[in-house]
Amino acid sequence: MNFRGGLVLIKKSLFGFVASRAFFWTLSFGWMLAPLIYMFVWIEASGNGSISGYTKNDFITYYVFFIFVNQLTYPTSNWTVGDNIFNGTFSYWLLRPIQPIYEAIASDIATKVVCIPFVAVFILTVSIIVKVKITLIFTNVLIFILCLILAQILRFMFAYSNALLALMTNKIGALLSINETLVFLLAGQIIPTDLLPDTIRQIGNFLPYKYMLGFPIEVLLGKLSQSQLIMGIGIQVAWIAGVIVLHNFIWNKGIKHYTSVGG
Amino acid sequence: MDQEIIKVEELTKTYHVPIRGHGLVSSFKSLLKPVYSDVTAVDKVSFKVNYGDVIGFIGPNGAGKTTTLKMLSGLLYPTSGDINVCGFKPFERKAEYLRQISMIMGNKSQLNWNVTVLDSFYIISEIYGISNQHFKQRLDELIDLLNISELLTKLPRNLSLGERAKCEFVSSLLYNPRVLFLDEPTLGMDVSIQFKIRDFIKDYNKKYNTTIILTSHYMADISSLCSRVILINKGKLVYDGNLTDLSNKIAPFKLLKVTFSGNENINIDKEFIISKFNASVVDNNDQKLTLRVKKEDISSVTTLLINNVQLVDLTIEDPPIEAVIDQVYREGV
Repeated sequence: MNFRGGLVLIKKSLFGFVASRAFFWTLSFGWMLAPLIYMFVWIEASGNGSISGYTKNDFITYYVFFIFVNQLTYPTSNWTVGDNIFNGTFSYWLLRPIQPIYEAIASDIATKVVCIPFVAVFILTVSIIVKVKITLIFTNVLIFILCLILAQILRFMFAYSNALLALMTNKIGALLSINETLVFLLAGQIIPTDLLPDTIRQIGNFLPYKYMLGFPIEVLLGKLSQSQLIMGIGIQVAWIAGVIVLHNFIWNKGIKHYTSVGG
Repeated sequence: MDQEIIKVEELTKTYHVPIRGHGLVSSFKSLLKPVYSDVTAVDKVSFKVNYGDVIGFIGPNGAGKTTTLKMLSGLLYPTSGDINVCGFKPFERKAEYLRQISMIMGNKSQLNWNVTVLDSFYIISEIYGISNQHFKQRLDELIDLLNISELLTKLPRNLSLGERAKCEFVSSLLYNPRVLFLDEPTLGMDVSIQFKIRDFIKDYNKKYNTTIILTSHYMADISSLCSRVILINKGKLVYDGNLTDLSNKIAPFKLLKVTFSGNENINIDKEFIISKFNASVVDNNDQKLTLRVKKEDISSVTTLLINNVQLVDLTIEDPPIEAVIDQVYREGV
């Protein structure tokens, strides 16, 4: 463990990202736009009634929290890692006495810190415009925080492990895009996961995507029974363990394949 | 000190690369059934390097120099063979090993382009766990040696190639590595910067006794810095020794350049010199003559010329090292 090195990498990313804040704010605006549009679609679709138990206000609350959770868990460094492996600049990460994952974690943390002011203003503005009414239970908030941290770890490690496949295949952009599409479809962005068609929902319950986004929001909104909650956290933890094993496997195998192109 | 710091035995690296024929049909065939070929970039190379040595690693493009350097630094896994650097197996990439080596790749920058040069150095010091006092002391020394104090507050993206190269050296040497791998460190630089970088490397090696392995296509880098060269071609080690010995072995002749007074040139019997001493004319005009003469005959030819014609100037030179190396690349040792 090189905490001193990790900390300075966060600082380094912050130094650079703060100077390019307009770029990062535009980027996060793009990430927030899609769920915002889906929110308006579902507000319109639900009218004054409800869809499978979701009222207009449920959709508003769901998507406001979705934007927040999506911003906190969105992994950004996986694209950079894939590019760095492809063009050979990953070599400089390998030459330092600190694991390359520190660089990715630092970059992700710095991106979130830089985006916080913009995201906070955006969510506040949207909440006022759509007149969100939120009632939260304290216990749910505590469990939500736990599930949010687990979701963050799962989403980051999954994306980072995918990116490391570039050590063997060089180009990884297509796989990262598939991963983003599956998150988009199965994590609760176009529709809350419990409103998905039955078969897809059943399959989705055992895939990692729901636990990266939709699950923590369902916990916060009190949509889950106690058994669903325990099972959900269990699946989240199991997927994290699985992804860490997968990461170690890809790393050990991939680093032997790395060709360090250029030069 | 003759202590071994690098030991390489039977080192081999084979790349598994996709190949395909020309045209659309081959392209589609490779889509369904990709064909691969094994390319041996480094083939059973063995050598040893002593502590504090400056070694020139030379060879034509694609010879396997950079691949060897990357295996030594731990970036690449060897296919077979043994490597030991500073008592470590580089491919294990242990943090203790990485703290003892540094690598500069002339075609890549390790500076972060979005933070100032000083911040870049600070980041390095934190990653390598250097104490603040040691960092300041070391930075002052290197700033002084490379004269870069006015660059510290600038962003690397705004520096010239030469300025950036100096900063690359500082960031690579801040933690005082025992072994420095330099992969074409003067690539693309003007002559003046090349001189400065060479002087710096020479002084640094003298002062800190850092072991340096250098690859470069600029023979001036090699001849001015390296006590020993390792020549590699098509992945195989073809020569390991002194550069002068290589030159003597490959080109056992000298260039004799004479400038005549008036029309003396036409008075000398060139055919006689050529046939008697097995020399050859490299260049010939009214006033000047350049002859390629065997080293053992140089004094006889010189005496003959001095005694028989009026000379304005006479110089004896070694053949350009580039010509020697070119001959080695083409014909072997």
